[in-house]
Amino acid sequence: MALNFRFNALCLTICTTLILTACGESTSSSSGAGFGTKNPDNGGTTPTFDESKLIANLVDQVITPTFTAFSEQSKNQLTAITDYCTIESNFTPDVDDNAPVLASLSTAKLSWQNTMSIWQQAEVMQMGPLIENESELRNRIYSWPAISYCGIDQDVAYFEDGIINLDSNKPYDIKSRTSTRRGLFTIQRLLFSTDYSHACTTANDALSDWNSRSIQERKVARCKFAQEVSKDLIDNAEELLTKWNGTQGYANTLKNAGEPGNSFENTHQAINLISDAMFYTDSIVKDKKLGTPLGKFPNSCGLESCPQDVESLDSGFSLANIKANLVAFEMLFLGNSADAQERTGFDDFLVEEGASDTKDALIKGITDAKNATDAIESSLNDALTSQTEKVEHAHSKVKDITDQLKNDFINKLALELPKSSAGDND
Amino acid sequence: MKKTILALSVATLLNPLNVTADEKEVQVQSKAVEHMQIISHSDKLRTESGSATLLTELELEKHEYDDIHRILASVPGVNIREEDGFGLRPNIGFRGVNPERSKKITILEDGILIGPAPYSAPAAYYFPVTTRMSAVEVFKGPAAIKYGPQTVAGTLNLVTRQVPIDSEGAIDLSLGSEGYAKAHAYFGETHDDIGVLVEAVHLEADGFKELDGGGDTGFEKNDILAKFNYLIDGDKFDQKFELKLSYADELSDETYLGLTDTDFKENPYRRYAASQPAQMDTEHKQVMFTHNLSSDDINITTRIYRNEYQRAWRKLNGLTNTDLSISEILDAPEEHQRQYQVISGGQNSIFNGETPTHLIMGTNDRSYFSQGIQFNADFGFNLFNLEHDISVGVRVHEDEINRNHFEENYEMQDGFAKLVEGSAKDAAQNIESTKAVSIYLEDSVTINNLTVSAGLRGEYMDMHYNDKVDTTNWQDKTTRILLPGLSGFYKLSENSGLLAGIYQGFSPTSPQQKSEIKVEKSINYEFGGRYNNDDFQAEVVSFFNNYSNLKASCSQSSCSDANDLDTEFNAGEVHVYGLEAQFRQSYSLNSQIDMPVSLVYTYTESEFKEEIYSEFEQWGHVKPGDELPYLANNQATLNLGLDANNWQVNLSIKYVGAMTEASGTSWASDDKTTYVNVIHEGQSTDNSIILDFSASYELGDYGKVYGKIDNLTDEVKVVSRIPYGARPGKPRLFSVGYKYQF
Repeated sequence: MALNFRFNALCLTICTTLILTACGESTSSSSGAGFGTKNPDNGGTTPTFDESKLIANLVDQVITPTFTAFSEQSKNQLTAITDYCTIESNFTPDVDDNAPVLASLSTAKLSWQNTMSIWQQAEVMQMGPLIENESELRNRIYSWPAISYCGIDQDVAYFEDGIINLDSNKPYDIKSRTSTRRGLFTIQRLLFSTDYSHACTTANDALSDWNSRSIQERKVARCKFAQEVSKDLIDNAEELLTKWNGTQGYANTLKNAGEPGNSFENTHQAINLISDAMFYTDSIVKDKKLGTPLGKFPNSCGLESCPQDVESLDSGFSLANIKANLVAFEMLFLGNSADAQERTGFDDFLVEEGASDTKDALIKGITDAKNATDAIESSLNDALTSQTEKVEHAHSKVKDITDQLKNDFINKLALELPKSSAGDND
Repeated sequence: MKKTILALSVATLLNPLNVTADEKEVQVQSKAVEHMQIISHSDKLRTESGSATLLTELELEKHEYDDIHRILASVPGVNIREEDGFGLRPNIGFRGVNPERSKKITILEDGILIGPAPYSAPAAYYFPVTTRMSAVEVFKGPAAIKYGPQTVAGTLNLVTRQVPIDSEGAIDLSLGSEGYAKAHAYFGETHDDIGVLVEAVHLEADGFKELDGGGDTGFEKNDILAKFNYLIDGDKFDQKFELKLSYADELSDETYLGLTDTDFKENPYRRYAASQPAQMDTEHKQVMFTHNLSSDDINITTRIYRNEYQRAWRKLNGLTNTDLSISEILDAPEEHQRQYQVISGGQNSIFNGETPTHLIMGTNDRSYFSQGIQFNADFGFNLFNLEHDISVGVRVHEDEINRNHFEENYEMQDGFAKLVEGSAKDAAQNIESTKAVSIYLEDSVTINNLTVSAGLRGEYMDMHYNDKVDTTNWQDKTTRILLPGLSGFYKLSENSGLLAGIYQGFSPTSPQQKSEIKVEKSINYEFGGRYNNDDFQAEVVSFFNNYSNLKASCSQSSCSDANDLDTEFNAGEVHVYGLEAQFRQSYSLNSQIDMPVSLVYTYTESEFKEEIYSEFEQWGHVKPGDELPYLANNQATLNLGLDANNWQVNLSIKYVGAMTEASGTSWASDDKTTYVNVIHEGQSTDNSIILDFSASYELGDYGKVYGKIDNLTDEVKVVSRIPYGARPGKPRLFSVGYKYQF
């Protein structure tokens, strides 16, 4: 009996255990909004910088939109210039009201300014079709610093005549003209210059009567040529887009860098090309647009401040050009506009390479340079006379950027200096 | 309970009557020792119903091992993945659980949890210096549920030296090849019921690997232990109060970086230049207060403990500008030449106008604490005319891991890795913590020759995770679980018996795992027998572990993709089964010389039961029947010795079969959005037979000298290809030492 009882107790123990085996576990939780939205460990992770992503973003979000916008704006410009020219052509001085002429001219000028603003951004994106054949296409769009006032004036007359220098064997075709007689710089002179005399030291046959013609005739001749140059500009902008976009376009070449058959062996080479373009800030913005007029390099005035050597003397738009250059540089650096959604840019690349200090220095440099140019209250040519110290300051702030660019930026990202910056002008 | 003690106490316990005053003191001391150590040490047949192995101080002294991996070769059912050759950061599993950082076993020192944060981050980056241990115990089977939280596999208890009753001390000095040096000393005594023990160990080695560009690849470890106790010999109860203080530090030039198979064949001990900056810096402190109250019928122990641990391990995590993991690069160096060349120092980080390839050195800087109060009691009573032996335990525990990880870039330049100044950036910055209450209750009932034990463990875990940067990224999680166990021992005779058991195993998820992630559970069975007849002891136990959901988690040492760090993976149902056998016999060759022989053998099979497409790269696409990685089918260790009065030689022959390094194959999802590259698909470690030889000679009153040769035949085998490439075990190393005891 006792033994029986003992075994019953034992069975009870065993059964209890087996029942308990069925006992499950229970888990409950509460969590914050950010829980589970990313890797819970938040690191030990190795964020890997994707160079292809940088290229794709800069191409798709920065460069292509700029080229596209330029093409669109060049069409708007033609419309504005055509409108102005129509009114100018129908205008009879001392008879008609001058206001519509001035209004339409103002609209045309504004349209040029808008076009130029976009192009000045594209200036910092010179690569592929813009630099092939010694930048032939780029120069057709904007030839500066190669300029020829005389050449422009000659072509105004040639275009008006339909033949070159009154030689009937040489019909005028803008497509065959040199770049200094085309593009945005030419349009600027045609719209903005109030000096209606020709700029040639010696007038050739076509210009022989130019200075004796009425101002109105000369204005009409200039605006007609401006129309022609605008049309040519549209074609050139289209050519750029054609060469840039499409399956075989340069944008794809960049984005597919490193793939079989691609002209870039690797993505890094493609990035180096974009970096080369950004050095425009050094060789052109710092040295040509600011340094030369400031007398840091020999200029028209020797080695002193020289207002007439600014980039856009006729329009007084030189400072705006520099601002546009800085905006473009910033977009390439950040991968986005300063106020837009954050995307992959060189700033991220620098962080990846452990060069956050360089990134910070460049961002500060960009901000300081923008503030310095904003602080110049007049046109650049006026400021070179009245606010030289502000221009000097702007130059030094741009130099802060380019110093970083030429040293830490290049070194940390293992990029090579463009040939244009190989000789240090500082 | 029948948990008893070391050789010191055995005689007293076996003859509890008519003791003298001195003997009584010994008895008190012995009872106090009892709660530190769990397995009985006696020449009698043990009646614990569960596989348990004890390695005594005498056995540990035979080979003077500092490496727990080598020590555990004499324990059946232990699966090990070697890593650095010195066993600095052990990878120990029992009965087939993933050995990764010993995170699936419960590790105790003197009966309390010793891992840095056993609940919140069970990876045992801190492991006590085994040099100063006086015993090592291993539990598997139903006994394991007493010692959670990890109960799927078992428990390893390391027992430190007890405060001696008489004045006692020793000094042990050793020098060896590869700059090996050991200085170990202790002294202790008990006087007027007050006892003191101080013990210190210093270990160092230059390392056996050859670092490109020069430099050490070894380590320096220091460990200091102090114990103070006060004994009260009462009429009804004996009591002991003990304060234990310990400090340990380690500075090791250790890396996760291994070698390509080709480079391994050329020089297995090479270390690439990219590992030059690697260093582990750790510090561990412990304070523990113990009170023990015991009588013939009851034994109550209360422990209050706090462990603090800091570690910062700087090691190569990856390379810039590539998605490739280091494992992938080293697995196919021809395909990833640029990255391989930078790692091996053959090319500069900045090279030929190509994309810069800098080394990303991650310093996983972590601080931990683990504290709690633990109460254990054993007592017996009579109920329903049955003798019950009750064992009860309650533990209130809290632990935390605080991660302050950061990464720095290093530039490989002309074969030297140089820090890129200012490149530091934060990586993981978070805290995981757990407050846990665990209770166990076990009742052993003896009916004639049958002893049946029914136990129940309850765990209640209140876990918290928060990201220190993104304050919205946090989780509070509560888990409760009850784990029953049932075991029995049937005494066939005075010398033999059968054991059987069933229990539920459990492994908690970490605080940062979502509550939907299933915990790991298994139902484990074992059946076996023991035989003990004077000079011959044998134990053969078969086991079958049925995992309803086997889990694995990624640490940097096991997963190449850092984005998977600490992610847990499910394998579904898995069966692990096998046989563990240990035989021990001592032959008397003549009146002067004995020849102890022991053989430990483990056979293990594992099978995934479900087809799974896992992102855990040691699994991948697994089909039913595939094996678990890093689990040898056959392992055996044969220990041979010759013992004379004043000399002793020992030879250990350890065989470990080849281990597959990946269970399944690479796979891609249908929509191609997921691709899992099982880097080590089809690869396995080498079979290895390692011979360790040791000899000692007593100099009478002048101590003894000893010498040993680890890896006598200088066997060179790939012991593992994780983390990050193939690595060898320890090469042939010589050492000689002198030991003086008083």
